Amino acid sequence: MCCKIWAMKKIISIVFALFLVLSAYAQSADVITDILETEEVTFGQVCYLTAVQMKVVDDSASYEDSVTTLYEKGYIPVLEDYDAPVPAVDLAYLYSKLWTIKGGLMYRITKGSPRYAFRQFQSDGIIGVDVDPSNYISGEKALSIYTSCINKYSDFDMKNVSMEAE
Amino acid sequence: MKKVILSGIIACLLAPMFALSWNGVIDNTSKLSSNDDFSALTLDQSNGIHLSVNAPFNTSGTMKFVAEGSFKYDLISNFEAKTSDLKMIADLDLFKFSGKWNAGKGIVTLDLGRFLISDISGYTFTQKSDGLSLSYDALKFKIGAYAGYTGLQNRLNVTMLNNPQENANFYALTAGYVPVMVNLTYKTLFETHTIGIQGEAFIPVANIEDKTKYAYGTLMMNGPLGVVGAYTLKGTVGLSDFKNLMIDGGLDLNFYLANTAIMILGGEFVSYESGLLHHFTSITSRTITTDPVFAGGVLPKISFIYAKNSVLASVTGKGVLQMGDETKFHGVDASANLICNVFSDLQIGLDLGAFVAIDSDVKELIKLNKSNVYYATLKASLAF
Repeated sequence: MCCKIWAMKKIISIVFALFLVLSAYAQSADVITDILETEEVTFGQVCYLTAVQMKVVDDSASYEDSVTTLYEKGYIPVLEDYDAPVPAVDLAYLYSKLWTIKGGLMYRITKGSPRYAFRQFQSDGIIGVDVDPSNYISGEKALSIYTSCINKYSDFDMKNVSMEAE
Repeated sequence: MKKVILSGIIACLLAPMFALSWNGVIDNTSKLSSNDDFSALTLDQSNGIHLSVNAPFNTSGTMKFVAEGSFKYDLISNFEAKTSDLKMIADLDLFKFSGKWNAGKGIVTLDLGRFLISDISGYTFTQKSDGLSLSYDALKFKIGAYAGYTGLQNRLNVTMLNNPQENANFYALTAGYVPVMVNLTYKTLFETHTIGIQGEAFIPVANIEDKTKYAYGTLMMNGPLGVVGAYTLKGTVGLSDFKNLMIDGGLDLNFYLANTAIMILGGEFVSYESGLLHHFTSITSRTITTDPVFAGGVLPKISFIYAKNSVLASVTGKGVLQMGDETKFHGVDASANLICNVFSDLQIGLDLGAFVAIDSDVKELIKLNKSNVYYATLKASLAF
């Protein structure tokens, strides 16, 4: 029972934080709901979150448009299938483009390559050390990682607004 | 036919692997040691590379294979004798299949292969070994057992009791003991304290001239000291050949000075030759003090540890009270350590240490043997 309440609080907290961050975008609510219900988050969903925050697409863009736009603008090296599940290493790479990350030496040398973006997220406690780079992750987990990034890399302080606090 | 069967087995083993990730570390260790008047300086320079692979067998990562290999050189230069000794060392540091399964209200963990194993006190056996470890970790207790063989390790990397002394390069086998360990830990004594017991036996099997068998029993307790700190109490009683009694015991009291600092007051008793008692012998070599002539007694200590952001610093002062035929205060063992994470993947460390002899006989012995009593070690490692 305790676990269920905790899980529910966590989901509410994620949604609340994301609404605050993406509040300017009307379609974001549907997208967040869609992602939360996804067992394996897709390139399209993650690229949408990334592209909207980067303001390279507007919130009415489709998942496919988001992937194509990020590819055309050089943020992703390969035109991925928007419906394909995204491995943790690529999720970390995409998210790492959203904030200025003071990474480790290898992260800086490789200019934030996917391998070192993933390891930086592990080092910063955003992704668990037991997560393999190739693991596919759930939509809820993907949003949880997103909110952890907001806490870690942006000025936005989740503790001030989260329902989980205290 | 054999090749086909072997290929089939390998394919079956590898097929379930979901992916293979790898990591690497390059490191540097430069240690400068000296005797009491700095006339005999020694530099131990070592550089190495460690590569590891991790292959989970399922998406949750509860079943996986991990392995780590290393290659390094170790160059010891003696400036007084104007000699140097170069050793190349290759090792397989880790080769382990592991699995975790939920069972009742606990978790069963199985590890098979080569991995680091440690007794609950850290006094007798803390090293790599080849074997099988099985444990059940429940909410209130943990029970575990280990059986293995030490004789396939590389003695150029693993310093343990009765290792052969012949000069070697790259890989040379260690002393072959069969360690058998069982332990039980109760985690909710008085709600917040932990108590553990462990029994260990080490049976010499191969590559050992001294066929002495060793057995140890350990009692360990730890827990909070109200809100001001925590304590760890541990004691090990050992028997060599089931007749010679040995004891090692210690108490550490940790006090939280601030959010970033801890003071540790403690001490350790190491048995010495006296009647029924014998000097405590551990299976894995362990440096208790840099006092080169210490052979049992009491070592009271005080430490301060400071940790903030990417810096961890500590200073330790340890008295060396030799006991036996007569009790003598040998001197003070002082050390300072600094670890700085320059980046999340680049760590630099500095260790400084000195044994300041007070007893005149000890001073004389140190001078006569030109024993090392000062050292400075610079370490750096980069993960890639």
